[in-house]
Amino acid sequence: MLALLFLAPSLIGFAVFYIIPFAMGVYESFTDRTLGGSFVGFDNYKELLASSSFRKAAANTLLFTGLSVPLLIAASLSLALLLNRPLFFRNGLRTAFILPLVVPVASIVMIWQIFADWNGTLNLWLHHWGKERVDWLQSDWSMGVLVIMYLWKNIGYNMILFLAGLQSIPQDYYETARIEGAGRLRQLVHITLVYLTPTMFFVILISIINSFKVFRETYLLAGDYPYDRIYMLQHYMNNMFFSLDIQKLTAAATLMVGCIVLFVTGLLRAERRFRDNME
Amino acid sequence: MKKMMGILTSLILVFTLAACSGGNGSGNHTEGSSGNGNGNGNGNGNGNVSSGSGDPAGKPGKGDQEGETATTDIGKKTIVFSTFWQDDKFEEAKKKYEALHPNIEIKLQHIDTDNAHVEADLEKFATTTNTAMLAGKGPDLLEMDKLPIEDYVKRGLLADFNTMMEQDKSFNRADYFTNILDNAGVGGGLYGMPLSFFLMGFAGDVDAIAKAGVQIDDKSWSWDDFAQIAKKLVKDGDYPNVIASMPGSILTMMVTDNYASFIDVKKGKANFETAAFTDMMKQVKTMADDGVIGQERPYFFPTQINSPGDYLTTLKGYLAKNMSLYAKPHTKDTSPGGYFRSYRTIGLNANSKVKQEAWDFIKFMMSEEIASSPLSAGFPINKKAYANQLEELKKMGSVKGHEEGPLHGASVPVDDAKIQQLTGYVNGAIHQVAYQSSKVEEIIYNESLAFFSGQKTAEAVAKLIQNKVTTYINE
Repeated sequence: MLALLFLAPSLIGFAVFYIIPFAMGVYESFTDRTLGGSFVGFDNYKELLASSSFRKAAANTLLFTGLSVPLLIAASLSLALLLNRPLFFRNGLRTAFILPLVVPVASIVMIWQIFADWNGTLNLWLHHWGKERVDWLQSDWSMGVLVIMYLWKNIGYNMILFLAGLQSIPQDYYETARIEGAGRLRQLVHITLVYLTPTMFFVILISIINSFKVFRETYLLAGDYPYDRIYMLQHYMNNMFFSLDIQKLTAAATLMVGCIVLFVTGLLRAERRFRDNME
Repeated sequence: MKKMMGILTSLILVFTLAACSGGNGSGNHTEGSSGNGNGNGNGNGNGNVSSGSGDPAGKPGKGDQEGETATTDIGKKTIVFSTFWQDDKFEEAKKKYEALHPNIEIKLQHIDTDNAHVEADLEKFATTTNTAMLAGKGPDLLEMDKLPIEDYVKRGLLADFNTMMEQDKSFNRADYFTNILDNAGVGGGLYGMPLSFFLMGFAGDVDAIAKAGVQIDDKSWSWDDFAQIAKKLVKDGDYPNVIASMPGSILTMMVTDNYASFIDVKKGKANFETAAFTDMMKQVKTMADDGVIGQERPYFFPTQINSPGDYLTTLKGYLAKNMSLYAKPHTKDTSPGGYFRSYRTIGLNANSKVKQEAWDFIKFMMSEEIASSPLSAGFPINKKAYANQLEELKKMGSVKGHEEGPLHGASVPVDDAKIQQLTGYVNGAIHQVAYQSSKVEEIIYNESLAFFSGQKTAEAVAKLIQNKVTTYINE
């Protein structure tokens, strides 16, 4: 009971700002007009799924997450492994990888814009080397630009999480393994990766959520109607908001949250099973 | 149990983070503009408008203006009228109307803004008004010039003035410029009442055109005719250019004139990756290369005529002695006639509790009671008010040009023949030009820049336009 009392303030805030509005949003997605509309069942969802732009947005978001998260995990894990051992200038390097986290997004986007624009730096270099220039932000390359930006921005954070995980693995395990003649690779696969799994689950979760946030950068980089390869779910929702189509907006949001919840539940269940196995 | 709790908390965590990211997205539009723009000192009037943005899905119930639209206890009815700019004309109408109708109070709301913040404030104004309207609240009357009227109509937020005009026996359509009323509609009804309008067209140098030996029938000329005539003008005439414009603008105009052949909204199909479009782009580029489109002295200037006084000074302002207004070229399918742009377009909230009263106030603003000077912006929708303006103009005898303008404050005499011509244009304007450029126009203009500067091929640009427009029309 007492615990509830202490939880109350944050619970109330959370309810007022997230749960209740979201529930209202879910309700809205089943009505035909904003406030006081009548119940229309799944009509809004049907209309939503019939919109080819929505399908495109969903596919792009999935593709981005599916592409960037594994890359990010691999890159940040290797960095963490590298920086976990004695290395020249280790602390400086660690700081350097964290820095992108504290730089404001707007200024980062500005640099990327100058870099990847049709008349930007990258194309100047290409021209210098006598190559055809590429419209990085207005072709299928745009997804690549986003992935690189996402990696650059999030690699430090994940690296910290992995470093913490690595340092909590007892050194005795490695010693024992070494005495019994296990090689580097064997140690990595059977000790490091195994004991890093709980951290791994957490990092995957955070990375996926951060991959949804890449909309902010995309929007600032390419505006509300970018090349269709980087047209994300949130672009769709944002544009729906501006064309006052709250029904489609809430339907899209409900679908998106539904998918995330499903996915996360699956992930957590997998983690629990893994833990049970470990015990 | 503990594990379940764990799962629950994680889910909540995910919720929060995901929601955060969503919030950030829409927040971008409103950030940085808060804290200014509203408190214009008339008590509770505007302060409310500043709330209620940044959370699209969340709470449409914000931006509350309850109590303002409701009737007060002494039976006095309040009409809330929201505009972006402060407008003396509305202030005057309010005072006069309140004096005539003591039981009505009109509350004018506007945004105080300055040059540095106009864009941010505009966006905020649109967002807050949108939210309030969607919540079924919002003001009773709105100036629609800066608002997405088509979206409002699609959501059924505005009342149709056609039905109000029909039901109102005291309203005589013939007192107004019916060519404007008939053609200012959006989405099958008249959802915005244009209190006034501008004329759009080309200011052309009559003498120079005649000297080059060219005949122009501007009532029905097409873009092809224009291209032909332009070729001849460049070859035989004295001036280096035919029209003072940018190739992108001309292309956009040509596309909007042929909208249906490029965009099929019902099927969600755009046809920009076609020879028809790339040929059109190449044609415009040729025009630019040949000097038809350019920034040196031309035969035509695209222009907007704001008032009878402006008509006289603007046409004189372009260096040549004998300038006249021409309609811009049409497509083959459009009926002959001039172009206009609605100004001070007023929308009536479909959820308003004082609809009849608000309509009565609109009628009052449309009537000739609100005298306007022949120099103030916008031709009045009321024929008598227009006639009064002309009378006053004739009495004035001459119109002084802007001090900073090309006339440097020189006076232009009022010429009966010119005025007669103007009345012809005013009565003949039947094609509406939207107040704001549409998303499609923006896309075409921006993407075509790279083609006209020779950086990309027509095909590459067409592909990009196709790509973006398809996304837009299929949302």
